[in-house]
Amino acid sequence: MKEKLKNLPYILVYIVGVILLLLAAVFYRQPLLSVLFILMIVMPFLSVYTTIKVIPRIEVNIIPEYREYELPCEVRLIVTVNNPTFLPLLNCRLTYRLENMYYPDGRDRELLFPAEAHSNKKIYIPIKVEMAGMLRLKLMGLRIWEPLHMYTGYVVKSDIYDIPVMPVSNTPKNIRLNKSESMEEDAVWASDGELTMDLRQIRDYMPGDRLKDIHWLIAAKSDDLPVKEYERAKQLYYLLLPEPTEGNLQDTLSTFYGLAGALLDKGEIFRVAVYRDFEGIVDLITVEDRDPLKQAMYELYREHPAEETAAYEKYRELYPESTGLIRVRGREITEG
Amino acid sequence: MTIGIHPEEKREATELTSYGLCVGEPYTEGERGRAYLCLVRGLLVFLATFGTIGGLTASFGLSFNPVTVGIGLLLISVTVAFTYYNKVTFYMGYILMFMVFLVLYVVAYIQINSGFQAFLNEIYKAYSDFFILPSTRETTEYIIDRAITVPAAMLFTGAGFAILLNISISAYMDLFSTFLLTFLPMQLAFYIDIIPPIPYLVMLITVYITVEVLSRSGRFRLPYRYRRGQQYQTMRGKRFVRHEYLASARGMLQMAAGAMLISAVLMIVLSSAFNGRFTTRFVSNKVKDSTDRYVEALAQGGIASLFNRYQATGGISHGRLGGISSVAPDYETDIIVRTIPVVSAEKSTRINSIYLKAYTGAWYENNQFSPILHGTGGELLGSIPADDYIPVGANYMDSGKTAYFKMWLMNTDADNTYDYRPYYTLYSSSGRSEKASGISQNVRRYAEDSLDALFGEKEDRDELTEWVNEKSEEGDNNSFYELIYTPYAESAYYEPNPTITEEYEAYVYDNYLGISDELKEVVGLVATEAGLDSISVSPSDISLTGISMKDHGEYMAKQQTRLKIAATLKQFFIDEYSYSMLPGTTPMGRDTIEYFLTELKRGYCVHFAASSALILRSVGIPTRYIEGYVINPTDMIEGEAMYGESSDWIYVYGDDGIIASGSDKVAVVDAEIPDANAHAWIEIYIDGYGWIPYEMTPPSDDEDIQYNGFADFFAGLFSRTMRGTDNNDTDVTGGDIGVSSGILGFNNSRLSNVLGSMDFLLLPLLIVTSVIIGIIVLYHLIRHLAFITRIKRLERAEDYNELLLIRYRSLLKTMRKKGVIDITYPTVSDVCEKLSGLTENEDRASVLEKIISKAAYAKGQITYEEYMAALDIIKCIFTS
Repeated sequence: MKEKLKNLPYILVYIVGVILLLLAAVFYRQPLLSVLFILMIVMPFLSVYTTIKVIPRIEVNIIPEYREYELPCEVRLIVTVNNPTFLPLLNCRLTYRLENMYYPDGRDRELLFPAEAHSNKKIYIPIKVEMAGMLRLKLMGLRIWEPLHMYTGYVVKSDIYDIPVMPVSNTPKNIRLNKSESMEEDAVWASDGELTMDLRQIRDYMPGDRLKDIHWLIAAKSDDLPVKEYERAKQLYYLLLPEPTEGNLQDTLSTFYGLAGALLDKGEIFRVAVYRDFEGIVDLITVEDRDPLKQAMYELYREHPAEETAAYEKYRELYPESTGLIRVRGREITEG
Repeated sequence: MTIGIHPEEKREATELTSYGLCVGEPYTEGERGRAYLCLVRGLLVFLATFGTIGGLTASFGLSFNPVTVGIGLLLISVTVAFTYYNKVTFYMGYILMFMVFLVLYVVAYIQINSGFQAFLNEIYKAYSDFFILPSTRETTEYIIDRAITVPAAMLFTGAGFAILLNISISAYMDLFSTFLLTFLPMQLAFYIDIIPPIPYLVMLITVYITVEVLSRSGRFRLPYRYRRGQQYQTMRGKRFVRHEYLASARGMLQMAAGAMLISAVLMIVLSSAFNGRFTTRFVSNKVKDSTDRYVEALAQGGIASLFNRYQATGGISHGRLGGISSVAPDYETDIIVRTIPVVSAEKSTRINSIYLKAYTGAWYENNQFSPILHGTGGELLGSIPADDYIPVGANYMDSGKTAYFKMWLMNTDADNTYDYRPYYTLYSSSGRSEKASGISQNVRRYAEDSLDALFGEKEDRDELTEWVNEKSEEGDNNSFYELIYTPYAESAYYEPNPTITEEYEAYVYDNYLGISDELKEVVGLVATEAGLDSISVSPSDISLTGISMKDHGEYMAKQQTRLKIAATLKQFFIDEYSYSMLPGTTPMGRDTIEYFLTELKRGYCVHFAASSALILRSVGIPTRYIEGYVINPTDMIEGEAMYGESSDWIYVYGDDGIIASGSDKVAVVDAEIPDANAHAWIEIYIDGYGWIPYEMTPPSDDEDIQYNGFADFFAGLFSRTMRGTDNNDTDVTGGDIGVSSGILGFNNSRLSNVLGSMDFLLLPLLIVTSVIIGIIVLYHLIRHLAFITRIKRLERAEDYNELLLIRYRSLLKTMRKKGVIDITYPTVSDVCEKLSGLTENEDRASVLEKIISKAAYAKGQITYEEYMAALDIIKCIFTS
């Protein structure tokens, strides 16, 4: 309704023009006045009709340029405008919202552009980014005015694009960290001294086996001394718990990203505990290379910063016996 | 410390801190720059300029080479448009243009001037033919060869037009100013039924459409002050950030091309529809007639003729005649009178008009009838000459009975200099000096002697004051007074006035026969033409004049001749002249009466009264010019009526004494007299009797329309009276009205006039609408046929993949239209997922997905069975 009201002044001005022309044509009965009057009568119908027919054929989309973004960087949005028809629709308005999910803006952004006839053009929107996070691009709709500004066509657009922007890598120096000993309730020590969960077989005791690997339940019922042998023999993981808060958000992200990068550079496989404040859970993501790290970052970006110790407390509540947790808070890296 | 930080940088820093991002200015790579934009604007300026200049020149039959002039104007237009390229060209461009303009004018002054003169000569000729003017203006062409002078003038004028149009198009994209700049000059042709060649009209209409559309789109703006490369304008509000594209040169060009196509089609269609339907010559309405007067005066007298004019409102004009082009009363009440209606002496049911005399003109000179007597050394004698003798004892209703009436009069808005006196006022209570109130001393004495006993004690001051206060908005500021008068009426019977002395008659003959030397000849010629010299009345013909006097005989016959001459002159005016409230102006340097009598031959009361006074003087009849108000019978009828005591308002006595008693009731009327009732007439002197008022203004023509208000003004505009007798345009005015009246049953009604006035537009509108609808229907028909043909062709070629994909696209389109799917680029899976919710069987959607995926991505063709199966599912979806 509000959009339709915007056309009202144009319609009123047009009607006044038509009336004046009619009066002039009737009083003076001149051909040019009469032609203009007829033109003004016919034009709105013709214009609205052709616009209604043309609007479904107009293709307008806005997408982020596909590449990896790491601060400092400039994100580029690409608006593609394709008007295969003969009608130059000069007044198109694309409404979208673009905001870092950590710092919601709340403002609608509008791009007014022409859809020239038989054209397929690209409009680039540069975005200077200085904060890491998930940039969310949400299309709200496309409005197209017919040339006389009397009718507004509306095309629903509800596509959503997320653009992750990695923080500046703040690599810690000269820091010694321990791997985590326990992370899950049913995790047990494997024969090679590493934590695992998958039991491969139960076999007889062999010299060198750890006492905790002996299957005491069976041993108690029999004379044998069976030992649990696990499927995969893995190393102990570093377990990182980034604890972003309102105050240390960017620093936490930078430090975590730098630490994670450094671990990957060393060939370490680690796990990231992502605290989901809303659900009240902690997800564990195993990171072997850059892609899972990005995944972990995305998961972090989707969460709002929690209270200062909320993530740690929740983790402790879920894994009370776990040891070797690496907490990342601001620029600090501590073991807890 | 940040000193002098740019606001934009500050804003960017704030946004980056607050939101972590800042959206920069959008851009399009490879976009053509502002040079392209200036070029397109230049093209529009050219179309407007060439359409106007070329169209006008071609309209008046002046030959020129359109290619040469067109190229010249194109170069000028584009150059002018490039002034908006950047700041330097903007500021320097106008200075340079002015210099070039000046140099060109100096160098080619004679050629350009001669071209203008050639153009003017053709215009004068055409207008003279159109308006059938008595004379044609002509200017001197220094160079006869129009092949040189006309293009030179066209280019020079075109440059001026291009500069102005460049401002309205390049800077503002404003239709109104563009329209005025092009349409008004084109009126030179259109106004006199000359239609310029179609291509020029197409150019103009193209510009109108393009400018209107562009101004409404806003995609034309790229002012010189914007920095180079800037494509968008950014606006920020609390709830929005808007980037608005400034100018789409390509879109402008496309729009102009489209507009030209539409204009061309429109003109081709309408040229046949309008053929022969436009003849403005025979169109007449208040607006057109008024414009015609100005145009005619302009064509005949040049621009100077437009300046020595003023438009008179209602009210008296103090004898001023010169320069009045039209009278436009405001219909405000000037005077309110309370009196009893005066009925005709001949027929008691007819109410007579009452003339309220105010201004007396004695000497005519310099377009003014002044109250100053000729030869008195400029002594102002007030509103009337010294002794204003009037006839007394005029009878009422029947000979032998004289009536005295009372009138209460309030001046609400009339000129307060004068008293307004009905004929013949014997007494006024206005308290003014005798001269100012218009009652001479001896008349007052005569009245007092005769009437004091009857009316002196009957004045009811309280009632008068109350009445005035009720009517007056301004309270005490208005003047009101009581008058005693004996009504004048034609066909009345008069007695000799005993108070007239020989000295007074000598004075009358000395002063009221004067005519200025300049006018003597003209006035004499008109008197001769009217045949006034040869008129005589024998004693037995005295009834011819309508006024009877005692002492019939040869002497009185001579006096009656005066009235007969006046009647003859009036008839002459009726036959040869016409009444008009919009007579047009008098050219500078011409005398109003001379111009009226010899050329104009149309006018209103002032023209007729003033001319009559001089013409009658020329044949030896003492005459004077009078202004005042006339109370029409309709004013009396429409006034508020009440009962009054007859003894308060009328007294009649005859030879046998008083015949009206004070006990009877009479109808008393409050009449409101508007300024439109202001009037001019003459007084003729009858020896021994005094001054007799005489109406010289002929009645208005039947064709003239009486306008009595704002609503009637518009009604008058729509009424289609015809001008001229050679009505050869019955198609436009007669036949079609008859049809519409017949169908709607509004014979002679205002509505039929309104509808009838627009009939000439209806058929062309119908034709254009039909053509457009036809084109649209044809377009869709062709598209549908093409679609069917393609399907058939694919079926023959057994290309089931393409056939299915066509169906799939249709399905997708329908889903979008119905709002089932709103993803911009949906995959087949997306579509089928949505469809599974619509179909009763989810398996069918998955079957469809498989077949469509196979058709779209697999190397081979789908089978006919698969195609038909998919088609069945799609049809099923369509029907659901």
